[in-house]
Amino acid sequence: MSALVHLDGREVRATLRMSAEVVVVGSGPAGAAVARRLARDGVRVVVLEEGHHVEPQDFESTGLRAMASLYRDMGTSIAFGNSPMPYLQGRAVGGTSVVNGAICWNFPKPVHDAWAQADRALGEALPFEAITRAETELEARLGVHPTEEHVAGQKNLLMARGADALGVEHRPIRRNTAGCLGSGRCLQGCPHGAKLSMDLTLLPDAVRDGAQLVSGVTVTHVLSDARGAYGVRGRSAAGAQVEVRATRAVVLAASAIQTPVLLRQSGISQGPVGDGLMAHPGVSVTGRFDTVVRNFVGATQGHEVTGFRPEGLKLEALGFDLSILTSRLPGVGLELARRVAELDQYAVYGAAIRAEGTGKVRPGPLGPLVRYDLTEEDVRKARRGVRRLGEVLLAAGATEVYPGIPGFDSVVRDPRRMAAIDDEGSLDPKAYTMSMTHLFGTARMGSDRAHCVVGPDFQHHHVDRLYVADSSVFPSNLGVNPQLPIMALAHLCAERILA
Amino acid sequence: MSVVETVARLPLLPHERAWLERIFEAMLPAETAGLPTFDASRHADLCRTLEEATGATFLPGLRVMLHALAVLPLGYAGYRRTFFALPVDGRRAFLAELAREPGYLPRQLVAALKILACFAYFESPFVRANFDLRPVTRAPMGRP
Repeated sequence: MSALVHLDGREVRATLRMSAEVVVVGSGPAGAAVARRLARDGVRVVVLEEGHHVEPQDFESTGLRAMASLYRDMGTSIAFGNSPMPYLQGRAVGGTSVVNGAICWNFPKPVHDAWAQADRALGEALPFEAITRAETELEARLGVHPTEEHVAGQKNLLMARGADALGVEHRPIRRNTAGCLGSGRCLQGCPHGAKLSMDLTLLPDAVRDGAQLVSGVTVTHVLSDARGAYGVRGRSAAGAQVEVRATRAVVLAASAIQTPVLLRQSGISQGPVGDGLMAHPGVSVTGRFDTVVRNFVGATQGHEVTGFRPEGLKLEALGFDLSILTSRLPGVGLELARRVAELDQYAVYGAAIRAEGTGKVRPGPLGPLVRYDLTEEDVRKARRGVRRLGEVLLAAGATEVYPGIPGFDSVVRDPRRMAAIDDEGSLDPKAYTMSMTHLFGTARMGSDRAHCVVGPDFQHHHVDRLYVADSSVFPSNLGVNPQLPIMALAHLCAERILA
Repeated sequence: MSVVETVARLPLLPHERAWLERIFEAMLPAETAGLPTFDASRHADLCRTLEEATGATFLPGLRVMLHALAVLPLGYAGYRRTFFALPVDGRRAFLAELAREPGYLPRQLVAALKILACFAYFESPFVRANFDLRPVTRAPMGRP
C-alpha cells in the first residue's frame, strides 16, 4: 500500500463501511480539487476511485500495456452516432490527469460571458474573478509554465516553424510539469514523475490534511432519502460491498460519462441528466519529413497553433507511442512495413474542434451507452481542420501529408491542394476519423430546475447535499483544454460546501 | 457480472487467436522492410490483455470483424476464397484493397485491425530497440 492510498480495493474482501463528512466519487482533476480544498479546512473527506494507484516508476512503456493499466476499457469506449468515435478516459488514482498531455488553459472569458448571459444567476454565483482566483492558486501548485524549447523535440519546433511560415499565431503549450525530460510519455503516464498530475499534487495535499483515499472501488449507487443524499454504495475490486456514509455532502466527480450514469442508476433522474453531452472532437493528419523528427520523444504536446481559434479550431502537436504512431501511417501490408522502416521521419498534428454537436449518456447492460452526433457545421470544421493541419505540416517542411479523407487525394505535396479540401472534401461525417476528448454538459448547472440538473451552487436541484463537481456541470464546451477550468470550478464547489 | 456480460466476455477461441496472428503478419510484414518480425510468443499475452482490459462490447465487435474478414474475399473478383485460405500475398493485397474501399465499414475494419497489429508488433523489446527512444534531454531540469 502506498502512503497516498488508505485502502486498496483489491485487498478489500469483506464488507467495508466508512463514514465521513464528505464522500467524493472520483480522484481526477475535479475530485482531487474538491478533496484538497475541503481537507484544508479540516473537513473529514473520503475519496473513492475506481482505478488503482500506479507509481511513476511502474508506468508501462508500451502503448498496449499503458492503455490496459491506466485507461478506462483500454480506450475502447465508443460514442455512437453519425460518426462513431472513441472517447478516452483515464482510470487510475489521479484520473485522466495521469494520461493527458498536461495542457493547461485558463477558463475563456467569452465562454463565461455566454454562460452569464444565458443565465444571470449562474453568472452571479460564479463570477469570473472567482474562477480566475482559483486558477491562479492551482497554477502555482501545479507549476504551470510554457514548454521549454530544450524539451520540446522536433515535432513541436517544426510546428512553430510551420506556423511562422504561414504567419499564424502560435505558442509553446503551458503545461503542469516540473523537470520534464522530453520523454514523450505523457499519454502512458510520465515515468519520471515530471507531469504534476493529481496523484502527485492535489491528492497528496488532501491526504496530508486528513483525507482518506480508497482506490479500486466502483461506486454503483448514491444513497439518498427524502432528506437528501447520505452516502454511496459500491463494490471493491476484490468483490466486497463498500458503503460510505457522509453527514455533510456527497460529491460526484466521476466524469461527464460516469456521473450521469451513476445518477440514473441511483434513480436520481430528475432533469436532463445524461442529456446535452458536448465535446471537443479531434481530427489528426500525418506528415512525412525528409529529416528525422522522432515524433515519439520530446514534450508529448508542447506546441499549439492558436491563430485558427476564430474558425473553431485549435491545432496541437501530438506525441504517441511507437505503436499508435504506426497506426497513424498510411497504408497496410508492404506499404506500411516500408513506412515503419522510416518511422522517425513522421509527425502527427491534431486539431481540436469546438463542436456544436450534442449527445446523450445512459446506463446500458454492458456499460454506458453514449450517443453523439456532429452537426453539418462541425463536419465543415473537421474538414477545415484537416486542411489547416496539412498546411502547417507542409509549411514546416513536410514533403508529403496524408489527409485521410475518402475521395480526396491520399497524398498531398502542394499547399494549394490542401486548400482544395474546402471544396472537394466530403461532408459525410463518417469520412473523418475522429476521437473525442473533453466531455461536458451531462448534468448541467443552472438556475432553471426544469432544464438543469444542479444549481449554480453545484447542488442537485432535487436532492439536498448531493453535489456534482466535474465537467458534467459545464453548460457548454470551452473550446480549450479544460483540466484547469475543471479544477477551478471544483475548487469553487468545495467552497460552496464549506459555506 | 450479468449473463449478457459473461457471454460478451467469453475468451477468444483458439482459431480466432490464430486468425489474429495471420492478420497481423499480413498487415505489417516487417521482414519485407528489413525489420524484426512479430514476437509470436507474446500473442497469447496480447489476447489475454484484450480479453481482460477492454470494454464489454470490444470482444463481440472483434469477433464480428474477424468472421467478416474471413468471408469478405469470397465476394471480390480475383480472390473468391476465404481470407485465411488465401496465400500470404493474397491476404496482403486484399487488406490493401479493403483499405481503399470508400465504404465506412470496410475502412473501419482495416483501421481497427491495424491498431491491434501495431500494438502487437511493438510489444517486443527487440522491435522497440530499433528506434531511438531516448528523451530529448538527459538530465532533469529544475522546478520552474
